[in-house]
Amino acid sequence: MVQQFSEKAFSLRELFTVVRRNLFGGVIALLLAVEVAILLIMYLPPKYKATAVVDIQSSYFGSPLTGDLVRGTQDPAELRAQREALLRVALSDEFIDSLAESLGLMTTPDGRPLSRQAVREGMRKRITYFPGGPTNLNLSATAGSAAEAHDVVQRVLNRFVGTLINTRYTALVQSRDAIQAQVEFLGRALDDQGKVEKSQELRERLQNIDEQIQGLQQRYTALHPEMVDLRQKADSLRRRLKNVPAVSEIFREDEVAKSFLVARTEQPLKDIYHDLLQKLSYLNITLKMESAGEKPYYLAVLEEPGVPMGPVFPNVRDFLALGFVFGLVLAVLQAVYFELRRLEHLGPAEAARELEVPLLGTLPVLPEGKNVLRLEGRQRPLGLPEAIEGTA
Amino acid sequence: MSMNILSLARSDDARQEVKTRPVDPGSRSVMDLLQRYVREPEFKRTFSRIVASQETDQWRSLCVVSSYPGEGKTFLVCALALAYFYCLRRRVLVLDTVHQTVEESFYFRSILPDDNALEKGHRQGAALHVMSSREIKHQGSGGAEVVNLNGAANFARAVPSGFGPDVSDFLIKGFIADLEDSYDLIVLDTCALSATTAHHIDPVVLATQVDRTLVLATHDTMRDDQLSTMKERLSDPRIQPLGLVVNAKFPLGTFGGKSKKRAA
Repeated sequence: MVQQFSEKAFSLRELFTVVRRNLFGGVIALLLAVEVAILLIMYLPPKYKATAVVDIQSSYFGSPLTGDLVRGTQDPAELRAQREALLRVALSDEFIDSLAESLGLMTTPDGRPLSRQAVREGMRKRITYFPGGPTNLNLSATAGSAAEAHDVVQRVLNRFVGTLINTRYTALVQSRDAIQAQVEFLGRALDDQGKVEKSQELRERLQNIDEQIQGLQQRYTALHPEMVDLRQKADSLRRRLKNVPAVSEIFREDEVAKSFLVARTEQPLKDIYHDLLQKLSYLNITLKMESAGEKPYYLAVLEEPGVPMGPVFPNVRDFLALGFVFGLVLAVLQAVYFELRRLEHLGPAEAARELEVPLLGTLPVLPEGKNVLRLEGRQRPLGLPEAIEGTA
Repeated sequence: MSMNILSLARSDDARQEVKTRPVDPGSRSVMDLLQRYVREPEFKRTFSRIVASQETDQWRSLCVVSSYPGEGKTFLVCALALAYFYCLRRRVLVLDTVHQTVEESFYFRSILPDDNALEKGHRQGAALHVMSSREIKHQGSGGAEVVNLNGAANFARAVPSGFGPDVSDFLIKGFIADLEDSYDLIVLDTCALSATTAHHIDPVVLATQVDRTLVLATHDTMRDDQLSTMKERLSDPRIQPLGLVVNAKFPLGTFGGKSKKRAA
């Protein structure tokens, strides 16, 4: 019978036959793969992983009381990116170096210094983070021991929290300084605007008095009491005009301030001034609150770093599952290999046709096994005793 | 006729020269194995076809060839010889042409019948003789002369100078012709086709000098490329193939790896 498969001939029975034929090899392959997995579990160096969860509210990224001036983002993806960017800022080279030095990773076990860049990359690979929720950030660190993993993630968490608070405080201080500078500027502008308006008023009053004097000169002499009174008023106004600037320096030099003159009135300027003054007051209150050492309202550590109970690598269940799957693949591959090899071989009848000779028969299988068959006829079969007498 | 045949050439002329069959437990084990083997139905059927062919075509000499060593040629030759001797009570001569050494085949030594069996067989006209190629005797007109066809030292005495030791390949035909009347079957064990070197008797040349050639194949050699190579090697028109005998139930790889290594 030709040992070839065709689509039509490949029935369920033959499938079972193939499976049965390769069952032993498949089981061996499976056991081998599982055994390798067990050996890996036993001998691979374990890795421990400690985790912490930090919640950073979206209000952290807003500008308190100045939201109408500086718009904060509301896009969740952007906020998530900002949280991760803050963590990257926290994991600066200096911090990573100090962490590696404290763990003794800057040198080899025999004391030779390692490349600083390589150590940094290695440390950063051991520290992982990913968003665990809309406002959460999961931090984790792996190490060769549970205590080391806990220590690393605790220090990373402390560093991250510190970076968050400092960044926030710095931003608030910058906002306060900017508002304060603007308030001072507006104050001077309002002051100058008042002076200019006063100058204009005085000038108008002087012009009015001059017109009155000019009209009375036809009827009165200069010594007329009314004329004298008017001249005294005019002189007084001229003296006052000399002390009041006709044009404000701040309005002349500052482009922003010039725009205030368009309003022709100081009321809008006063509104802005009062608004900024209010914000400045609130900012100062916020700064006092956040610098008082209290726990910030926008930050919460949802999960404190804990000492891991067991190694995260090698994971027994994963390795066994992987070994089982690999063993199955190996079993299938060996079955395919041997079946393909089997397909290469012809049956006795086919071989006889190929040789163009009649088929005389197929020899039986030796009951004693194959050891005797392996003889070439020149040597003693394995396990057979020596001759008692000499040979011919 | 004086024949220095290995073991039991129990003719009257050679009785005094015949050595006692060695009492070898190992040989007995092989003998027991072969005796069980020839009783197996598959062998009986194969054997029956060979006998039928011989009775039909009246041939006397048969050589067994295969591609690789270790495929069971010697074992098959032993089984055939035993079956002819014990089952058919025929006169059988086994010629071992495989190795040109002074060491005789353990298998062939093992199949030699004991004294009682020989006596009984002799009374019934049966005989089983084994010769190694070094002991093949030149049955010329000058009487019995032991000729070592492959030993260089003795070769000079038997073969005119100018011929190499390889000419023993071509002397076998005459040797067989001289013995054809004395035996019902002369079966030749041959060297594997892939393992033949300048120091071996070439099985292809041998096959051209015998009446029939039996091709032995195993599962590992029953492939297109292997069979094509064998067919090409045995394509000489003088070769009369008897048929194909298959050791198909050999465990996969048992002989394949070994044979391929040897071929390499």
